[in-house]
Parts: sequence; structure tokens; C-alpha cells
Amino acid sequence: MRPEARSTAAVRLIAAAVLAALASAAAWGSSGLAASGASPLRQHPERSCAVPPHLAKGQIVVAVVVDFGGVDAKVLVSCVTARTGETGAEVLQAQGRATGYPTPRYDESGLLCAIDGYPTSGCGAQSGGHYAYWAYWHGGKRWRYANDGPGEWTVARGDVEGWRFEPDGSASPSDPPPRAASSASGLETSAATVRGATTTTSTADGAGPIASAGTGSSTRPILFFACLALIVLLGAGALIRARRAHGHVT
Amino acid sequence: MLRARQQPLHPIAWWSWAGSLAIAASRTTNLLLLGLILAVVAWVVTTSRGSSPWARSFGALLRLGLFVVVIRLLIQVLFGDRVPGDTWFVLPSVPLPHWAAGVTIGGAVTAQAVIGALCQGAQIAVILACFGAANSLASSFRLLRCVPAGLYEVAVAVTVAISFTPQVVLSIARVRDARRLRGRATTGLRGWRGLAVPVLDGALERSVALAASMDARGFGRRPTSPRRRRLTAGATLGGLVGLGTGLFEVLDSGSASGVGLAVIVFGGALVIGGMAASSHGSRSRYRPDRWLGAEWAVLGAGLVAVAGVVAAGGSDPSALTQPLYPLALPAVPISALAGVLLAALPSVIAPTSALGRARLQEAVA
Repeated sequence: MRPEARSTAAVRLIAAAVLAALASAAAWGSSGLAASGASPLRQHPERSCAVPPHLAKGQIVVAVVVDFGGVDAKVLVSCVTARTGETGAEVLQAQGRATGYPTPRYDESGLLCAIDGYPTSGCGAQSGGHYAYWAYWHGGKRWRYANDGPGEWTVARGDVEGWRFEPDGSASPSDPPPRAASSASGLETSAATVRGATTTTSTADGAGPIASAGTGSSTRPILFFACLALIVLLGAGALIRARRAHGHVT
Repeated sequence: MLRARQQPLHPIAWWSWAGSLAIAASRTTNLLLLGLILAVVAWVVTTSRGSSPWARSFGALLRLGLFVVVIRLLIQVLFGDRVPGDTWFVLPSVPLPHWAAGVTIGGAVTAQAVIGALCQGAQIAVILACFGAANSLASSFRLLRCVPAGLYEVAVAVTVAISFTPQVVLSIARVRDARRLRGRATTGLRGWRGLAVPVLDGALERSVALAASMDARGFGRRPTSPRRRRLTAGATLGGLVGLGTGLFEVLDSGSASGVGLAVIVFGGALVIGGMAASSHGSRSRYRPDRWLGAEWAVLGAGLVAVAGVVAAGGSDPSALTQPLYPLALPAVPISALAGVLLAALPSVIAPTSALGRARLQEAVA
């Protein structure tokens, strides 16, 4: 990690990770692939990001580093098989499916709220001048704070996707990067240590992912439809009254 | 407390009621809750509005809200964030250079993206409808009479700001009539093109003319020394600026930070001080709007709606948002729904326009 590299990182201003899931030009091949719905992604069986011999043509292996940012140093490293040109969001979705944790949660504006079900509620919660958010990083020689959202970034061979939860972040490149090697080869060489840390789940504090998202689908259909009927009734009543008043005047 | 009266409700009661419902709407993207707020507002407007020309403001702003929703959806589909999720259809996309990060044209359109945009658009539409309801229910000219004496110095600006929306509604009707008489199109794109400029121009001009005539007639002027007037006006204006920045600070950070609260308290004290200093001296009012039991009830009904929504958000924040991952029916937050439903009470409390008209006719006969 060269010092001048760090200074160039400071130039990258846009907190695109906060506005995660921005657009994807999705460019070539988006039509067939995105329309297929069911993603071809799956976790590679052996926990190594080395390219397996039976990989189909056009497929790549992407390492996804998910750092939960707690004091407990819980870092998940997963290797996900993807097609070239798939977006970071799709890779992250596949990571969730592969690890068995809830898939990522976004809010209405497309802001990434939770990875692996963490945090359970809230989205980029602001307190004072700080945000509790998932920062998006691209691997390489060093971690680079993403200038784009995961819906926009397309993965290529040898990519490492980094995510770190910043409980007290400034939403800028000065936030700390994921605590793992930033390059695929780095993840390979330090595989023993890194993966030792990754596979252990910290149960001591609540910083780890939870098994179920608990999206509060306690919606009772009867109550819902009763409420809907009430709205329709009130609206229809208002409409009839308005019509009658209009007819009376003219 | 009901009472027989020909006089309409105090305009500030209606404005605070509508403002409360707008605040409630701004805290939720739950379509069920937004729908109920809209239905309640529409019901109260149709039962309690008078026959004044600006009573049609609600319909106009309802249409504007619909327009906002359509635009929000169109922008989301064409240029919006590529929100991941269940793909509905794929638009042809144009690859943009890397420096144009954050901007896209076309691409995969997901159910999550469209429904999320719909919820956000609906929220704005409901807030607009609440604003329209306030304009429909309360006369802006009566509201103007309630402007505190400290603000009379900025009477022109206040008058233009308050009376612009009802003037637009009046202006639309007038320009429409004129175009119809001349045999020009009044509907469709051609009609709108011919309508937009004269309407905006006319409404602003009439608002300014009203303000100027009020100013010329010495609206709000009192025999005080110029120095005192400058002092009170400065205090009021400074206090309002402080209130605004403090509120922005608190609302923006989402928490009551120390600095924001301090600025709000300081600004509030300045405003109160300025208004108290300027309101001394006697002024007579012709048939003043009175604040009685019905006004308290209408104000309370609005506050109950806010309290219900805040309580629902406190116990379960996800109940106030549209669940997107996975897509599901919105939750049914009982306390919020009950609160919003109670906000429909003014339709019973407020003297209905029909009743008022009947009484007036009796009195005339």
C-alpha cells in the first residue's frame, strides 16, 4: 500500500456506496441475463477463489469480502461464481444465497441497507454527522472506495468485492476499508489465516449476521383488506359528494 | 363542542390540521397508510369546504400529485437507479463512460424499483393533497388576517406566498373560460400549452397586485417610531431565519442535536419577543375569527394522526415502510391507522358549508 496511492484515494469524493445500487448501464448481455431472473450464480463448493478446472466458458470467480465492522473483527470471505458482466449487486445477492443468510435489503431509493441481514432495521441511519452504512470497496492492489453503486459496477475476472459496515462512518473514502487482503492473490496466500477468521461466527456480541431477516411480515390479510375497503369507501364517498356538489353548482 | 355559527372555522385550525396530516404522510411510505390519509383528507374536503372559488384547489393539487407520481415513475424507469430485484422487463441501455457514474439510460427495470418509486411519488402526492386541502378549506384572505403583527413589514411577500395557490386555481378557471369563448382548445396538450403561461403570469400578477394594494392602504401599519419598527422587524426576521435553520438542522440529521435545538429555542424566543413588542398598540378587527372549541377539536384531530404515526414508527419502524425485499403487502400499523382515521372527525365537527348556506338563506329570507 503506497502512500501516494492512499492520497489518490482521498480524491474519490462521491460516496457512491451510500447511494448504493445506483444505475447499471449493464451494457452488453444485460438483456438475456437479467431477464432470466433465476441467477446462475452459486458459491463455489471448495472455499478457495482459485479458478476451478470445470468452470464454464464466460464464467469467473469473484471474491466477496463482507466485514461486519464490529470490534469483534468478523469478516466473511466468500467465493462466488459469476458471469462476466454481472453487476456487483447480483454478486452480492449470490453471496447471500450461498452463505444462507438473508439476501441484501435495499430501501425505496435503492440504497443498500443490510447485508446478510445486518443491521436488522434502519438504513444508513444518521446520527450527528455520521452514518451507519455499508461502504462499498473495489479490491486490487489496495482497497478503493467505490465511485459507483453495486447495481452499476460490472465484475470481471480476478475482481474482489469489498463491503464494510461503518457504524460511525463519514460516507467518504476516509472510512476504513475491509479488514482482509484486497487482491484475489492476497486472499489466496493468506487463505489460511483469513479463512480461519471468516468461518468462525462471533456469537458473543450481536454484531454478526442473523439467520432470519425478520421482515415483520405479520400482515394479517383480513385486516389489510378491511383497511383497503375502508379507504375505497371513504374515497368513493368523497368522489360522489364532489360530483353531486359540482352538479349542484353548474 | 358544537355550536351554531355561520362563520367558517378559523383558518389556522384548518392549516394546522392539514399540516399535521402532511407531516404524518412525510413519515411513511406505507401505501395503505398514505391511501388512508388521502381518503380522509378528500372526505373532509368534500364535506366541509365552502362554495368559494378556491375550494377547487384540492382537485387541482390532486391532479398535480398524479402528475408527480407519473413523472417519478417515468424517470425511475428511464434513467433511474438500477435497483436490483425481480426483473419485470429490460429496456435497451446505453453504456456510459466511467466518469458518468451514477447516471444510466435504460437497463433492467425491477419490481422493487417501480414500487419503491411509486411509494415515494405517492408520498409527495399525498403531501400536495394536504396542501390543497388547506387551500380548499380555509380562505387565504382570512389566513392573511391572522398573520402576526410582527410580519406586517414583509406583508407583500407573505401575501404573495399565501395567496398564490388559490389565485392559480381562480386563474385557470378564468383563462379556460376565455379560451372556450374564443373557440380554442381547453383540453389536451394544445389546451395546456395555451393555459400555462397566462395562468402563471396572471396568478402571480394578481397576488402582487393584492399585496401592493394592501401595502398602499397601510395594511398593518401602526403609529410607532421607525427605530422601534426596525428593531421589531429585525428581531422577527432574524428569529424566523434561526427557526428555519434550526428546524432544518434537526430534521436533516434525524435527531435532536444540541446545536439545532439551541438555534430553534433562540430563534423562537426572538420571534416571540419581536411579535410581542410589535403587537402593542391597539388595532380593531372587523368580525374577528374566533378560536373556540371546534377549532381546538380540529387541531387535536390533526395532532392525533401525527401521534399515531409516530407511535407506530416507534414500536416498529418497518411498519411504516413498504417491504421490498421480499416484496410483500404493507404492514397494518393499527395505532397509525386509528390516528389517521380520527383525523376525519372535522367532517363532523366543522360547520358544513351546506348548513351554513341554509342558515344564510334563512337569515336573508
